[in-house]
Amino acid sequence: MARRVGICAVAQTTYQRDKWHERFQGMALEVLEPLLEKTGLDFSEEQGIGMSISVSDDVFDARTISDNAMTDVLGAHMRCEEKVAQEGIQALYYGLAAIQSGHVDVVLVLGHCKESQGKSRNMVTHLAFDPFYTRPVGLDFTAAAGMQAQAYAAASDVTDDHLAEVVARAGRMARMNPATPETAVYSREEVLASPMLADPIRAHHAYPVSDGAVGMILAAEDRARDICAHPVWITGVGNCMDSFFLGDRDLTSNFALKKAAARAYRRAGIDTPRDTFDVIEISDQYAYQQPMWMEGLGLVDEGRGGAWIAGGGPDAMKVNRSGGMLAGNPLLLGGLVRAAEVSLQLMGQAGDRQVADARRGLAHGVMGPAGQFHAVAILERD
Amino acid sequence: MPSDFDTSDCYTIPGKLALPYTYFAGRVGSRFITTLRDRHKIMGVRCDHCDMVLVPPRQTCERCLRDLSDQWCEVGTRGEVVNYTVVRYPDRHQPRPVPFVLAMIRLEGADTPIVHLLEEIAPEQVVIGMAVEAVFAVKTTATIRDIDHFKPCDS
Amino acid sequence: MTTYFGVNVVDVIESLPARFREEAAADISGSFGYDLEDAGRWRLTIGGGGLTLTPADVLDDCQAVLITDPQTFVGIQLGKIDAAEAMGLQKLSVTGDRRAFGSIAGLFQKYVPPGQETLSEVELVVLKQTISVGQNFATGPVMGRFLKGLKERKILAIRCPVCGRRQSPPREICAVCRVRNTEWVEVGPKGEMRMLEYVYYASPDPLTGDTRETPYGAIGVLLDGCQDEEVFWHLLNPAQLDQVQMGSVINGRVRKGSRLRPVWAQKRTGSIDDIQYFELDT
Repeated sequence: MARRVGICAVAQTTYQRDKWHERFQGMALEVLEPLLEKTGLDFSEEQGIGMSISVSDDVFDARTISDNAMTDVLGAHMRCEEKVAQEGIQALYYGLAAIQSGHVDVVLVLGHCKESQGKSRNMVTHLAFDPFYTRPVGLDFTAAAGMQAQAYAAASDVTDDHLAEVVARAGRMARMNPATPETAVYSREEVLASPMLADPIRAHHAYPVSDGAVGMILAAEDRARDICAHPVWITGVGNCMDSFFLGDRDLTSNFALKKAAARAYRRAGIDTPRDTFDVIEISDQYAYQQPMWMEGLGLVDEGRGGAWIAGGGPDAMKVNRSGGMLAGNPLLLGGLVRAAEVSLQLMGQAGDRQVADARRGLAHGVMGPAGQFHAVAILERD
Repeated sequence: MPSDFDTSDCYTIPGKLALPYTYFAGRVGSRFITTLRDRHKIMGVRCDHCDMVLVPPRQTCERCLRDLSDQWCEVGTRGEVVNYTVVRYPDRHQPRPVPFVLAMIRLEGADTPIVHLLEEIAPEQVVIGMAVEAVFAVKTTATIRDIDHFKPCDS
Repeated sequence: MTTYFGVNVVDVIESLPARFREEAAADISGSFGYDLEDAGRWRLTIGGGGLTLTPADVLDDCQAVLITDPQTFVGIQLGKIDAAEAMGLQKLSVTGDRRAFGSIAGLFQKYVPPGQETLSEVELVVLKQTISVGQNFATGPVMGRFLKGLKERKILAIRCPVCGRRQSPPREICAVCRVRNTEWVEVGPKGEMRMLEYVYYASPDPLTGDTRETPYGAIGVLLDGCQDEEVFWHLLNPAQLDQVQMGSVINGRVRKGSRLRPVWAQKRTGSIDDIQYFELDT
């Protein structure tokens, strides 16, 4: 690998159901200011931030070219600016590429998403489908997930009880995370009693609608050590895009995730991923995805997702100590928040949810219906 | 919200994101839709290299990148449910009042299932593997909804 | 005989029975009129899955009558003109039961001019659809204060504590100096016109999906109390498009622009529309 790239600082807003009092520019500013304060960086041409990457989406923002409205709060006025409209963890990949190529030394990544602005998140994801073949039958990400959950639960013996435990645990974890002050803490019984949304997905199995912003500073190794005492190194990133039409895929095969993980592991020099990670953050938009993605990452035996939950696997493997997406991060930011959370753990700044002496972690992001796109990042500290 | 955040000037304004689009089905897609509309036949394309029949049809095989635009083949109007969910949350983009069943249906002769409405059966009676057939729409929408829905049939 | 787009209008009308799709008309019955100005009038009767077409002088007894010029009619039949657009341009109207007329639109195969039958094998399908998602836009404290000002007929600008420039509508920060804006000042409401864009082709307004009436004038007003590029963008009274003069300062040469004043909406809600437009201050 070329120059090493380190994450030097992380900042985020809280994630709440409806930040009615702030427009998204204000949320972004709430992230930018602490990042500059922590690092002492500015946007000077010589030594400052050389590139700003916005993570934002036109439909969620209701503006064409969503980053246009953000340049000032990205510090990007008359500077180099980029945008990621794919899952936010991709901004890490962009920043890594820009720094490794030698084009810039310091990159700002800043993502925002205000899910409460649109009347319905499902209506936004509905627009990801084809106007002739799949929109007319009403598909959206929730319905697509329902079909995947149906197939996966059967293949991996995942029961309604298992899923209730995943949700109940997410609530317990979220209580230790100051970024998720509003997350409902449900008992297993409450989860089991919640109504069906898209069978077998229950209302409490779905990640709550939320607003928030998250950002980080990436820097080349020599600069990173000046900026902070313990940079978190990005040692491997991989992603994979599966077919657009659900019928072209095997919904239980985890095809894209396996590929994405294999690419990230290879780049990070990891031969045996199991027992390698001190902390794992995966994007579980729906409860069934937590065991399913763990299988896809090769961290749980295939077909054993149900048994893994029953055996206390999530606690033992330090999965989603933050509460995960089930605790409430907006779509688009899920993977980027996961990377931020792993970084906080490796920096020793994770407060009550800190995993002792965490040295290596995995962050995962997912986008598209029923896990069409996956991205995996391996993060490590010295 | 920071504790010193002054919300006295904050409020929200209702509005919408609304844009008129003209979507083009493409040459392959147009033929699929006009055949469905006028002749009540469902067409796919065959990729000989990958040994697959793809529905809906497309110009290029995404696996081997070969041009499939003249590899037409007719598939059945009957098929098998390979997966399904029951949609129970109402929303404006949905084609039916809830609950309704969305199923992945593999048509006879096709390798890739399509997603469509499954009706004329109670949601709790849907089972994977059941045989279903297309019910064609009376009024055209120039979309996959020229099949109005699928219904159970004898296998 | 008169032809449009190379096609005889009577051929198009008289081919309606041949193009009729019986299977789609099972639930439809009624009589419908076509009034194509000097090209003639016809009555179409649909019932029991069948159809008859007869020339007619009087169409008063029809359920609905389509009135348009023959060119527009042929254009629509050939797919060269959009019916909804023609209606918007008042080139086409329907009297009587408009919905009933809409229901018969899909009953006919497309007209194919003689000799072009082979081309028709590749009918190209398009779908017109307006995507629409309801929104709840937050003002935040900064934009909120500005919009509240409009409600009270005040135009507020925010001032950069470093360079002193004024922004209206306000931004949270000064992009140039990269600091939070803090100081509020009231500007205008009158000012000098510095920019005018005549807009003849309007894009749809993404907040409504509707297309504005054209032509209209988008203007930059240098409100009193502002300087240099600190112009405020809004609309000009459409009746005064040709009566205004654009001011400028080029290489020290000053050219005075028209004086403008805002026309406030009667009912103000705290939105940019609280100013209807600017007009000449005479």
